[in-house]
Amino acid sequence: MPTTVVGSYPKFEVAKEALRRYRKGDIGEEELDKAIMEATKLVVKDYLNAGIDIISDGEQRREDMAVFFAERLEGFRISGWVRVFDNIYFRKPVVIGEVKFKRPITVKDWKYALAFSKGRPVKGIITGPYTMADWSFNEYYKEREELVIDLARALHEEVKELERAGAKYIQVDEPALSTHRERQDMELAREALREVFKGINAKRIIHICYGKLERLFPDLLEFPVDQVDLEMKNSGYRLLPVLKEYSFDKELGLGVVDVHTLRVESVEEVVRGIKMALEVIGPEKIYVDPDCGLKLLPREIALSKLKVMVEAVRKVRKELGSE
Amino acid sequence: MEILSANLGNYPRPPDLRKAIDRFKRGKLTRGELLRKASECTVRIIRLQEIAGLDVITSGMLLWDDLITKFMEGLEGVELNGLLRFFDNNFYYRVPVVKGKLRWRHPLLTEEYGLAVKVARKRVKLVVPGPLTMAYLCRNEYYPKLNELIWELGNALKRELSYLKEIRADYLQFDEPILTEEELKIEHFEAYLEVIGGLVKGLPFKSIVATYFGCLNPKFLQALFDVGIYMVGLDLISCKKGLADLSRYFEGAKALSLGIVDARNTKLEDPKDLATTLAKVLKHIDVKELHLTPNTWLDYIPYERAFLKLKVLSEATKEVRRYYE
Repeated sequence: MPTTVVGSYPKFEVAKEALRRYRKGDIGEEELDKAIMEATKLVVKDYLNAGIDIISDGEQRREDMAVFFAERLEGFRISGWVRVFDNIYFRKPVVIGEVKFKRPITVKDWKYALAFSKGRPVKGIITGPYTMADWSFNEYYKEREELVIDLARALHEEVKELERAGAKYIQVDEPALSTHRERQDMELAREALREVFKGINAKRIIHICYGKLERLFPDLLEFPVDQVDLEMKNSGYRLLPVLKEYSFDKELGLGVVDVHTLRVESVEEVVRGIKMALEVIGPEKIYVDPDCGLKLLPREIALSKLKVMVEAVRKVRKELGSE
Repeated sequence: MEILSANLGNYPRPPDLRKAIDRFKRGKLTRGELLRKASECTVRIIRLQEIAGLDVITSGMLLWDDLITKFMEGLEGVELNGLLRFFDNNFYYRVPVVKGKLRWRHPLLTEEYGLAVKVARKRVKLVVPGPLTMAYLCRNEYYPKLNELIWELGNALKRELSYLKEIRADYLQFDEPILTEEELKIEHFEAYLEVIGGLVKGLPFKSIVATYFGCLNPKFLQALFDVGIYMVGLDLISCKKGLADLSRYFEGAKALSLGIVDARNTKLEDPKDLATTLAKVLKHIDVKELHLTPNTWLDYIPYERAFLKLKVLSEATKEVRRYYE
């Protein structure tokens, strides 16, 4: 029952400042890289301090999970600011031409993390084609399906680069899937994932969160992935009976801490959540992690949540006789 | 048939107001200063809607964080919790957790809507969250049955409306996107019909129930008219059914509001194309008042784009009017 993370970590000041200066044109790529490497080192230090088994690079360079990729693929421009919630806005990508892969997008930061990881595996993480399409304005493709498949082909190149670099775990984030209404959306997403993971031997993971996740079943069981990582804590583990109903037999990424609240869960609370999952699925198939990326939390809270999570896993492992 | 162009819901928050809200949150602006700024922006947004050529405008609802928070945070018995995705959008709302008996405390909308009516040169539509959608978006930890929550939310709205009715607006719209959701239970819809029927009785406005993000069951449409709703709003963009299918909607309709401009995509429609498509739909429509609108709130596109979208809408409406006349 390894511990892991979904991907993002609160941005360190050194990364924030460098990104700001880079956007203003005050510094070049080389200086930005140096700062991102520095920030990634701090992220990894926190992960190791918390005791996470499979880590990420903390996504210190990513302004937003859709914009980051849109800025680095062919066929996009970035629009004005669009609201996500409250007074929080992001610059939504606009598809204005054929989407194509240009050059590796995430590999550099993945390598930074690996260099500091003291041998722990680092997940390669990309935003999935369905979500990229859903969170962009489409001004070019006549049919959304064409856009999603072209995105999948472009992102497949990125996944190949990650695998070539040595990534043993590759996660595709598809949060937009949780909002799908139609059956054909699931079929489209499955086809797109098939493209993304074509010929890939690394562990294939999909992360989905926040929405009516029960509506993804049973179609999700047919997805070409080894592991499904789901937000569970925020929705009170109400998905567990659904997993049981459909005899879920893939590996499960089990979200046990809520990333939308500043309250740090107690160890007992997390232990309870893990034990609920154990009633549905064996420990050898569970990867314990937060509900989602930690980027919106203050760093101290994020770190505390991770520490609690690791402590809870250790406790359960001990009870199971595997610690 | 009177054909009017109308805004459906809000207008994207202007950049200067976004900055003011951030400064307020950091303690660098007082509440009074923020409200003054919001009023100034409201007047500007009303003018923008008028310049775009709309016949029916809204206040822009610039201080609303989403459809329901503004109203829910004014109620006793509710705590606002974490964020959840709002229908199928990359947009989140704060989940209201109902912990105790709901009590309406004080008017929440009269100031904003009073200002809109005072400064507007066109007809004004007031927008409130519908009780059914609010109930479905809540986490109900208090009432044994959801129907009770729908009733209580209806009661709270009734108190709010008792103040709003002093405002001389033309339309009052209840937003009910939940009506397009398959998971909606019929027993809840039936309870809702009683509630909404009671709410609109005796109000000095033409009442609208706006639905969006999907298709409305045609049976619901008729039922809404039967309990006294004046106009029902449909989202012709998200509802992917063909025009022939859609015509079923219009049988027995009294007044309709049709969402024809895609407020969830920046791509600008051609007003002439819109009008040509609509001409086919119009054959099936015989209502006394028709509103043409964006298919949902304008929150999903950038501020700069909203004006252009409304211009397309007003030009398309003029074309349609010409065709119809």
